[in-house]
Amino acid sequence: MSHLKLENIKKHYGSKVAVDSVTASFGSGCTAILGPNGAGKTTLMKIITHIINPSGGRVVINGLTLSDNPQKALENIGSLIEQPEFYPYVTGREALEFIAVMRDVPSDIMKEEINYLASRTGIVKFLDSRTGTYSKGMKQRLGLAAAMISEPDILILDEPTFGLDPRGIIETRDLIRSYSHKKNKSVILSTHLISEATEICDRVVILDQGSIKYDSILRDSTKKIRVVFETKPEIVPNAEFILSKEVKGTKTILFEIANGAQNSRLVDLLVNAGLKIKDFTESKGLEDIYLSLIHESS
Amino acid sequence: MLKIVPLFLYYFKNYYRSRAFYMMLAIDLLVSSLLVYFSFTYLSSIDKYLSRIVVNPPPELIRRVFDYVWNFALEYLPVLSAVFFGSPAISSEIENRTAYQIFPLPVGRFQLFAGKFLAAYVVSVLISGIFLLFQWITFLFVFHILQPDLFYLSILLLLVFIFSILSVTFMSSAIFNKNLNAYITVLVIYFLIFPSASYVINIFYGYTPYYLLTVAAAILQQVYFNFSVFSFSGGFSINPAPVQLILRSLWVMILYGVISFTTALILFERKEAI
Repeated sequence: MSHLKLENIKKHYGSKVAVDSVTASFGSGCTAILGPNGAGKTTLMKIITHIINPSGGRVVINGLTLSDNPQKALENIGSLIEQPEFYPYVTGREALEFIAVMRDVPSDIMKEEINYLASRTGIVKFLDSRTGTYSKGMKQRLGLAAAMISEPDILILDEPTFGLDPRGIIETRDLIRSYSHKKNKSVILSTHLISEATEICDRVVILDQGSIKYDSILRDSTKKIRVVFETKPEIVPNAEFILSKEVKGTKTILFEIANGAQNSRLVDLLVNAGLKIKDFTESKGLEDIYLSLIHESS
Repeated sequence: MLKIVPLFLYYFKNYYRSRAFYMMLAIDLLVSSLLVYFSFTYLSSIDKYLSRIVVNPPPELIRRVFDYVWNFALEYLPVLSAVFFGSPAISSEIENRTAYQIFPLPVGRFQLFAGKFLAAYVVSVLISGIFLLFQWITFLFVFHILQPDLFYLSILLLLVFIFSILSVTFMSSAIFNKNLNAYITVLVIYFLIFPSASYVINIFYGYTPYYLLTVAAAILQQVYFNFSVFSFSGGFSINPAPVQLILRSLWVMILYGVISFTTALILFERKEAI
């Protein structure tokens, strides 16, 4: 079941298009949204969390349309957007208690949950200090704890390891990974780091210039071959070693084949079908896909 | 479930621990101390000055002079409170990015707004309340008697005025995304535009524009003497303001309050934290 559905989401500021007809579904597990600066990742996350409204389209959360009933829909979402800020004269504990109350966490388990999240995010030592005295990294950790209060079904995290020290980065990634493996939990995080995306998440969406350029499950047992044809292929043959085909533009198809299969088998298949191959490249991983997609866009 | 109470408590905590609150408290104590000093120092000689206007001024009149002077200061405490607590109320959520924490919460914008407004209101009342306590104690020592009717009336008018001026500052804050713009707008409107308009209208059109908030707020002093620095086309009277003037001023303040509050709420409901 999809926890979160984005249906033709658009956002523009005057003539500038920030998000351009994004449609996607997110179920259990972790999805990383990759993209360069200005791709629209944070804008998309702000739309999902009702910080801004879309210019078109709709967000559906656990079957509820966000614009129809934002209060009810947002019960299922926890979020960490950009670098989090808190009211400076309240303590970290008071900030977490406040969010727990807003999320209807029962009072008998609130203290235990706050202490648990504080220890997992490494903020126990300064939980009773005012947030105005916190460093960027401390606020980031507090923000992550705040997002996880009441264990929402959907966690939206915008660069969750930003500003953290190396140990904090490792601990945060572990925490996110373990959260995403919980039953019926969906984590959607944005990151600039391809390594972070592949380490934490099972699925990657590449966003650029406001639209989705790539959306795929990360699998170790397969490889991707990018084939560019001379002319638009009318019929593309199938074979048992071809796991999936994805059309990328009019003359380009991305084939996913089992790691054990030889590339020459694919070449033979395509040539025998009368197709003229202009370029044939094996993708070395997500880095190549990312770079080639972003290069194409620019 | 209504969450206004926990919202109020959270915002109230942030307000009363803030630097702005301590600054207002300092101003409050300073002004109160000066007026206590004034009250004790000039009590014996005030009738000399009053005799120039009224022959054999009665004690009740002397008492009302002091009330008037105290309430002249009292009018400006809520204005300063509103500037400190109200002007950045909404704009700071955008400028300081705390909106990214509160907008995604499963709480309606009305409740967020109402909780914050209530907290700012209570803090403003607290500041004014401290001043009123000084006034009340001073008058008990100096005059050995309270003048309940007019004193309580001025408190009621004060409570309405706080609502009114706070609503105006919340509206200004909801228009802008930067605190500085909100601060400047309120200060310019209240201390420059309204008083200037009042004087211009008085001089060139010969009537007092009672629809201006500054003129309506002067009722806080006019309950004791029907004289306002914003109104010099009507003459001076040593009598308290008549009921119809009090009611008119009350209505003006309520209208400013309701219209500003509603406008601020509508703007906040549509606010985007870009």
